Amino acid sequence: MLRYFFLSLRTQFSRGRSLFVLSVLGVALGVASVVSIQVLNDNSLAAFRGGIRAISGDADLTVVGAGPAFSDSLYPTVLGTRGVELAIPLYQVAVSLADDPETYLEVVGVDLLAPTGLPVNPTSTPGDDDGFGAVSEALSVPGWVAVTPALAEDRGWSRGDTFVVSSGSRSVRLQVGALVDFQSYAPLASRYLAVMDISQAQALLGRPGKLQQIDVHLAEGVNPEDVRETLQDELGPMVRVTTPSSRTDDAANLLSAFRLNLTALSMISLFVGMFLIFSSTQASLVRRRREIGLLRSLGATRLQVLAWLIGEVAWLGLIGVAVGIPIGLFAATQNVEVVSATLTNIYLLSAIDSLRIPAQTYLLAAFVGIGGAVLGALFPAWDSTRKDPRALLSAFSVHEGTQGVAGRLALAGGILIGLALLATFFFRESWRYFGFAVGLVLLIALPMMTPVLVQAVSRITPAAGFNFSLAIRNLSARLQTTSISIASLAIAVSMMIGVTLLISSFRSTLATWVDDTIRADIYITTESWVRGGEDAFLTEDVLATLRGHGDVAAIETLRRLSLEIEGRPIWVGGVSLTLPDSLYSFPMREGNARAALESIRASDSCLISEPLSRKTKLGVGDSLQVRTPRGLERYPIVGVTYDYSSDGGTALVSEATMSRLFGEGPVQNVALFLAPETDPDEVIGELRAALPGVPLSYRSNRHIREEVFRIFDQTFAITRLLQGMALLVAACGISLTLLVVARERVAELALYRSLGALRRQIFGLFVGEGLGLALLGLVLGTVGGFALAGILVYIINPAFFGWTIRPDGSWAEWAQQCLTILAVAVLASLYPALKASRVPAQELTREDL
Amino acid sequence: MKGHSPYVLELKAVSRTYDLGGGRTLRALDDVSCRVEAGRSIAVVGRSGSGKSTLLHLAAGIDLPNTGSVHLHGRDISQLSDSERTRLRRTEVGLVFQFFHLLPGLSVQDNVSLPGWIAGRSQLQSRALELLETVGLSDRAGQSVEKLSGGEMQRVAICRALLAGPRLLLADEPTGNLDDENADLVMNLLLDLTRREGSTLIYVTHSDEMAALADEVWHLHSGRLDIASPATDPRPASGA
Repeated sequence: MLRYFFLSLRTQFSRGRSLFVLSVLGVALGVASVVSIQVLNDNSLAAFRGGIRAISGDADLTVVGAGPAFSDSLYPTVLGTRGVELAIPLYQVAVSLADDPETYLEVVGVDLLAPTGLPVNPTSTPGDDDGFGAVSEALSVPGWVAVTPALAEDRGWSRGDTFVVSSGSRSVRLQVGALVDFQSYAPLASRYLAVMDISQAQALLGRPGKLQQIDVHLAEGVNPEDVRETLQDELGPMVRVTTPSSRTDDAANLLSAFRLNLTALSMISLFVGMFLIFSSTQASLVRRRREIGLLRSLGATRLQVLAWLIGEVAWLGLIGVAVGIPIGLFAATQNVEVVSATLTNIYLLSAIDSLRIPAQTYLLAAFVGIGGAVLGALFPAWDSTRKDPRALLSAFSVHEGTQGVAGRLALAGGILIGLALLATFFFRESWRYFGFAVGLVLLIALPMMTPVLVQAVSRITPAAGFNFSLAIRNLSARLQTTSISIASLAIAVSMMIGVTLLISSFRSTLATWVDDTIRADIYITTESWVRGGEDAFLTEDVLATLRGHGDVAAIETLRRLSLEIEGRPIWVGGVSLTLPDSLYSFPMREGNARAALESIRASDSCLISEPLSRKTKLGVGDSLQVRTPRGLERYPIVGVTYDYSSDGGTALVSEATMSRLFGEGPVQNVALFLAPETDPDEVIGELRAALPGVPLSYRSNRHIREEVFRIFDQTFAITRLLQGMALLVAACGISLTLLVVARERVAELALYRSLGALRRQIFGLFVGEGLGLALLGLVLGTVGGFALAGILVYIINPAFFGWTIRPDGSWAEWAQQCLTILAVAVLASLYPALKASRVPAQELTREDL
Repeated sequence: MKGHSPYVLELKAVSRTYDLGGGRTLRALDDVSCRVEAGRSIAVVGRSGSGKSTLLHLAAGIDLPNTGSVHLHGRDISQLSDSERTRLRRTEVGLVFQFFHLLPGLSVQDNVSLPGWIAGRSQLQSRALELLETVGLSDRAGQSVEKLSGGEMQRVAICRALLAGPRLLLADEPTGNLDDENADLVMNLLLDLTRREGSTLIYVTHSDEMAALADEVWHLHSGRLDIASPATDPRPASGA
């Protein structure tokens, strides 16, 4: 049997190259989608993990701030704790390169006299590139910093060169003191990692007397959990004592929704690919039914035949995997920048420096590619082998079977959808992954509706000649083959339309929110604000200059801190609240805006954002439990606002409340309200002139809106890629179906030719059938797309991101997508149509019309 | 389209060989010459592989000879392009097959109308109904062809072949897939209708009885044609 298997494999390839290539391509594109997303997902965390490895090395515990940077007075307490052998204080700050403000350097301040976890060799000479060189130089040269050779090469820096960075409104000149290859020490570490003396980092770039991290190495035989608990008790609520691995877990949690959604979308391409395999296996089995019957008559068991058929498909899947992996890696490489930008801009994690392909990616690719192919082939293969040899040897049409079960299939699909709708009422909010389950049910039920739709459309299409109407009616005659193709296209279209509707609804909701909340004329922050956090503050003299400008009618300041609330990091904003009431706008989900404003002005109460409310299940009347230096304190929630700035959640208090909670601190953002009839661009020009060399970012009202949507579009760029891949797989499905149909209908095509049909007429008929497939796929896919959009907007989005999105779609965009799909379908039909048109009339000697 | 030849079909020294690969060839027709006058019926008999189907394919312009020429209404179809031969077939040639070759997705009337659709002649729709009336199937015009018996299917196929009013009707074993009763019925109908339409009929058969109904019987032996006596004086067809 094994010999026959290999012989048959060769025969299959030589007899149907186009079918083979399309089937492989279907699997390959599905695999490519999954591989690209897995690689990007994996690397999004790997960069963060690499940073931790490079900085903390093999530390047993890490003390990090649970809110603002903590006082270095805690350091002796850590060092003095029983079981602690070594404690390494760190000060981390993200600074912007002055000549390229969107590029951040992650500067880590370390005590160079202490044995750190970093690849430091204090005894090496100044000429060494593998260490810091002389420690005295590092301590005495102002702005001395060690950078990676990769970054130095990128920027053209050598030892001794200087460059300017900005931290908040301060510009600081740093000097390349050493080139240290952190990546050889921790391969996943970013090239943007830099190290300098801790006191220099605090004084020049951050704040003296503050720390952000203490890495702890424990004595041998000490139980880390015991020490962790002791340290946590002794250090108080404003720090968190954790392990490096749980910090990675925290980052994974932060990214979980983003990663899960991309994974789910990538699986859709694979799902569409499975339909392709189903279709090609079906076609191959119909063609080879006599061969199967003969083998069975000659004594092959059902299991042997099944193993033979599945083995063939597994080979095909394996080739698909081999082709799909490089495509996936290429797609990942092409999209690393946009994903990296999302990680740094939205989640404030490390940028993906270089792509690493973990070994498990290959295993996953093999599993999904071969598994998907086998799963797609399982039913038709099993269905063929369960028939007795006599039935297999006699004339058999698989399409007749489908004609009979079309109604029952549709009914089963309808019941599935009905059950899903019913479950939505009961379990929608009780199970986080419910939306994905409903989405899967939809994607399973949709194909079940296809045969009935094809039959119905075919029935109502009048017989009106050798034209498009005949093409539509022909679809019904080959129901099993065409239904599968239409179903796979419908799934791809559902995904395309569903995700597009989500994006357009989200965009429109965001536009309304921006209109409501962005009211100032000019917004000023520092260039390092996005990642610089607390340290990216505006100095008092800068604030004084801004306040002193004659055209500035009012000024609002924002102090922003990252705090841990209910175990999750959130942004808490302290606002000065000195403007007239009319200038404030809080789009409220819960509570009254005016009353809430009065309340946060007058008391230590807070407004929280919708994502925070959903994730913590807190609302008006509840209290937000906040860690403060005085311990855990509760602050009444007076309103829940629609807020799309962070899916992690935000809270808003008055600046006075923030000072009471965390002490006085600098502000990071300023909003300027100008006198009537003042040109914001003119004022920006004047402020730039008044603050020469200060690394500030000035954005007019219009500019900040553009910025919001630029980041929005960047975040969804990868989604567009996945939509494209799914469509491409579906296009392969159309080509494959039409090739199968052309092959099945050789005698019919020969009949047309013998009755006087010209080649171009048959070509046109086939393109018409491709168009028919696409139109039916579009109809079903549009229905599915709207349903999928509903699931994404009303179930998945609230459960994972916590936003309210108002449905909104652009008909023009929908029409454009439809035209794209139709054009793709026509293109996919050209080759099969050409093949069909070349069938000679002599083929009519065949009996199997 | 029609030439001035008195003959509907004329084959002049036609040979057709097929390349079987490996340097081997099959000579399906060997130096065949014949003429068919309008309104005649010809039965072609011979063993399997004697070249009967090749002869019909050449006559229909579906295939081309390696040497010699095929003239349809005086036009040398070997000199025509594929597209010109196809157009000629639309109007001048009707084909009937052993396995009927009806399209399962279409109704009885639609199957008959198919050549009209292909030719873009919608006016033939009513003629389809008339022909169905003639063969006694007008009441089943709207039904799916899958519900018909073998004899009924072949009657539909004959109607389809006659739809465009072809001058030449070619039938490849039209009764080969039918029982005796239906075979007689269909053969008589075919002859009757072609006479009524003024068409010429060439049909391949293995049956002496069926061959006897024709005006002439052509015998094919290994690709060589032996034009025999008129059907009024039938002689046993070899290989039948």
